[in-house]
Amino acid sequence: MPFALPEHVNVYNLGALIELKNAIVASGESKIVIDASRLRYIDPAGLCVLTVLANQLGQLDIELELRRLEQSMAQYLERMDLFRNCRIGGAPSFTGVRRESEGRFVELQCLDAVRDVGAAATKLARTLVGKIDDVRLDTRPDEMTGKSEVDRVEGPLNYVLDELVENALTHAKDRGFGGARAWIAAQYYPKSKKVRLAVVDDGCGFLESLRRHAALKEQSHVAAIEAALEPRVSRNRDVGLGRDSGNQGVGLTVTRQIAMTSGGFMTLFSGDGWIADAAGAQRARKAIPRWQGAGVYMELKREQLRDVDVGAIVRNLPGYMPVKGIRFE
Amino acid sequence: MSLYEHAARERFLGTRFRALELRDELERLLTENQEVVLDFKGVETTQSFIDELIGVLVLERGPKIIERLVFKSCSESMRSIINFVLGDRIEQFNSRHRSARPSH
Repeated sequence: MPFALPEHVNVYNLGALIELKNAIVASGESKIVIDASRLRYIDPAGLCVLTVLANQLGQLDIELELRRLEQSMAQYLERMDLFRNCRIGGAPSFTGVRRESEGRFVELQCLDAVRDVGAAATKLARTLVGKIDDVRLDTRPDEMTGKSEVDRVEGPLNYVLDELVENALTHAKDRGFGGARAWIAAQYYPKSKKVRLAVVDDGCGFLESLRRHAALKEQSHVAAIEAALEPRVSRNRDVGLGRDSGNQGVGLTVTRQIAMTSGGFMTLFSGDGWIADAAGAQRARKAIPRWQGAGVYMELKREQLRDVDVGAIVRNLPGYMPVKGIRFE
Repeated sequence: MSLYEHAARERFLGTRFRALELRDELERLLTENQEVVLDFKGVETTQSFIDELIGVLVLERGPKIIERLVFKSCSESMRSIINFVLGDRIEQFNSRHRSARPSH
């Protein structure tokens, strides 16, 4: 079998998946068997990207089959709904009723309508919190803050999921990509106490979205991703209003800060650009084989999530000043 | 206007799409009342949601609209988000109207 999955399919080697897809298309074959015997680990970003690529090959009438999947990996991929989300053979056969997951993962899902984002993000955040053993679901609200332990962990998760997914669908569908979709996957890793989530779309990408923006230092995918992370950079900050209102351009900025404040990291990729920001580290950049669309991958440390203060993050945004005359009661 | 009740008991309101739906109700209340109380008890939101709910109103109608709104039971985070959104959109409104003034 000339085509094979690597041992790790994650946000650091997405290039290997994209190159695999390109090689499959170049082969001219319509039935492809992929040797999956080496696959040992796939993270939420890898899962989303694999799904998108498999769907793209399916649209070219190329049939894929994963062979020699190690059994627990096959069951994991089945649990994550990979085989439901794309035409890819190799699903393990189960007899009897499928059990509800007792694991830590939140199944892969695909969204194509902005109206579905809010409910999906809330459900995802709640499910993730439910997977975290040491969050006591019956904790009463703290008298000082009015927030329970669940609120403190769920709040930042809900915030990033709402922002990332609505951002992805809204911007992805720009510039003639009206059929763009967003895929989301998430998992809690109890040994390291980390939440990892990914939002990947097949839309227009950051560069196309910001092509005419003054903040874009050069016409490159890396420059566009970096511009998007700057506060007040949005493709439509100053556009006319109505049902298509402008953004303030801080959604991604705040989301990034939530990752940093929780001791985690955030990776973004679009086109041939890939950048990663980690708490206390310098930004990493690299080139990858071209990805049509954009992806965001975040890792958040569970123990620090509860202490994320979104209010403090917002107060630290450039130009923040309390407004006179607002009546708070 | 209780955000919690109008939002069908959702405790987190995150999307612009959702805010757009609630803004319709807010605009209706503003046509019928001089003052509208927005009750945030039990609710947290994103900055995007607040921008779509009230930031857009500032851009459309000017900063004076804030005088007709009361923000009730806001957490510290919500106060910061509301301050940021309104401050940013007031600045944008004023900037637009300064540049629109004819020069002599």
